Amino acid sequence: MDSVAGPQRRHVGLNLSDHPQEVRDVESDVFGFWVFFMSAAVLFALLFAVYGTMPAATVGAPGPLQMFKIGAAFIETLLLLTSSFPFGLASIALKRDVRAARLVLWLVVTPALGIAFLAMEGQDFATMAADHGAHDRSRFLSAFFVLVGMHGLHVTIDAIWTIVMLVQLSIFGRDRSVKLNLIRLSLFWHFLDIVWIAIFSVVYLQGLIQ
Amino acid sequence: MSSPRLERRETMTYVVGYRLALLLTCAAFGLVYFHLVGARLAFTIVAGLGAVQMVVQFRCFLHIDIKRSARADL
Amino acid sequence: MQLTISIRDRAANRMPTGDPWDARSLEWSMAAPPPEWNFATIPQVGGLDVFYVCKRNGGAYRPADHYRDIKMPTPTACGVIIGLPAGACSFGLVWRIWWMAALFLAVAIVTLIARSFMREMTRIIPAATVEAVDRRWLAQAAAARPISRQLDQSPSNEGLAQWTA
Repeated sequence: MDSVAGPQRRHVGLNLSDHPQEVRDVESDVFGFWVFFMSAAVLFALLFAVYGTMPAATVGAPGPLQMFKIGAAFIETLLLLTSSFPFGLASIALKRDVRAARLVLWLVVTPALGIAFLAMEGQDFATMAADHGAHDRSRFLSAFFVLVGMHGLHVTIDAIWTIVMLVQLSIFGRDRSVKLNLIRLSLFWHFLDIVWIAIFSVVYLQGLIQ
Repeated sequence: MSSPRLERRETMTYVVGYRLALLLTCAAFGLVYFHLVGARLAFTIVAGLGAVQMVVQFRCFLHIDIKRSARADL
Repeated sequence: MQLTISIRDRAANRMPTGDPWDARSLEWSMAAPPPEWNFATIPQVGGLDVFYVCKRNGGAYRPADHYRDIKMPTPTACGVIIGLPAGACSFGLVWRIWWMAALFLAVAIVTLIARSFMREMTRIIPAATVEAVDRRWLAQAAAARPISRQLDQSPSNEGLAQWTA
């Protein structure tokens, strides 16, 4: 799919126009948001580094093997992974389809999946806390809750933002600011997806391997 | 290139990206769930699958491309 | 203390021309207090100490050849309405006053969302306004009495430095 030479990309994510001139207009705005992601990536990298030093620091509290449930982690992963896909379709609808229906549909499906993910994660956290695995029980659990909780916080903001964008879409239609924010928001969803890949690989699966 | 063809290709990017992501995720979880290999090897493979999936997502969902992206984005 | 004295004595210490001590760099080359757009035209910088050099070769305090419209952000209180509650929220978090943290977090977030619904984010200041303000200031500068470095602490300093070539 990449051997065909398409138009040059002016910014990260789906460029809404194939004409470089029109894309250049939003280029610096999207780049600013991209820089924000890079700082968020540094934040997550630090939290991963902290977590990476902690697996043995359970001080008698339950460790990863007792705490993590592979089934729940798998369903959460599927939910979040799937939420990224409809947003991709929303981006295409924004670019190609002047009618509102498809865009709105995908923009409703995306946060719905995100909220389902959050609900499962919240329940997971609650069972862990009830099962002697509260965040203040050991250094391992603190590191776990900060890392995974920080990701959950981002997803929460993301879901709220998508709902706000739906309201804006109904009020303003597709004006410049709405389009720009939808581009940024799509990057946000895809980015959090990538962070989650690191979380399920490094935290959940590696915790369950031993 | 005509716009319907471009649209199809863009949609395909997401479809292919999503399928690859699902495949890689299931592979990683399956490996751990069914204890297919020893711990040390599983550790490496899971990390590898995660890294590959990140590349897939960067490529298909964020549309980052070494050749065609703006220099500053990389 | 510093604020009190600055505010109390502000009338006596006004120096509208903006350059009380023969300064070297560009921030002294405008009125004090400056207009909201700072520079009437974008200054061309060709070396260090532009303002200092300009004063000596006659380039300072001259009207521009051509004034342009200036795009400025519209005034908004959102920054303050987000910033102060965010501070209060942090205070609540540090001292575990949960109602305080939750309430002010909500205020900050609601303001942020409300802000995203505002559209007219910039306004254009017409070139004529910029030119009028700039020329008024230049006339004021032309009428000001230059002050030497020895007297720059005195109330007679109007902000026009005396310079020697």
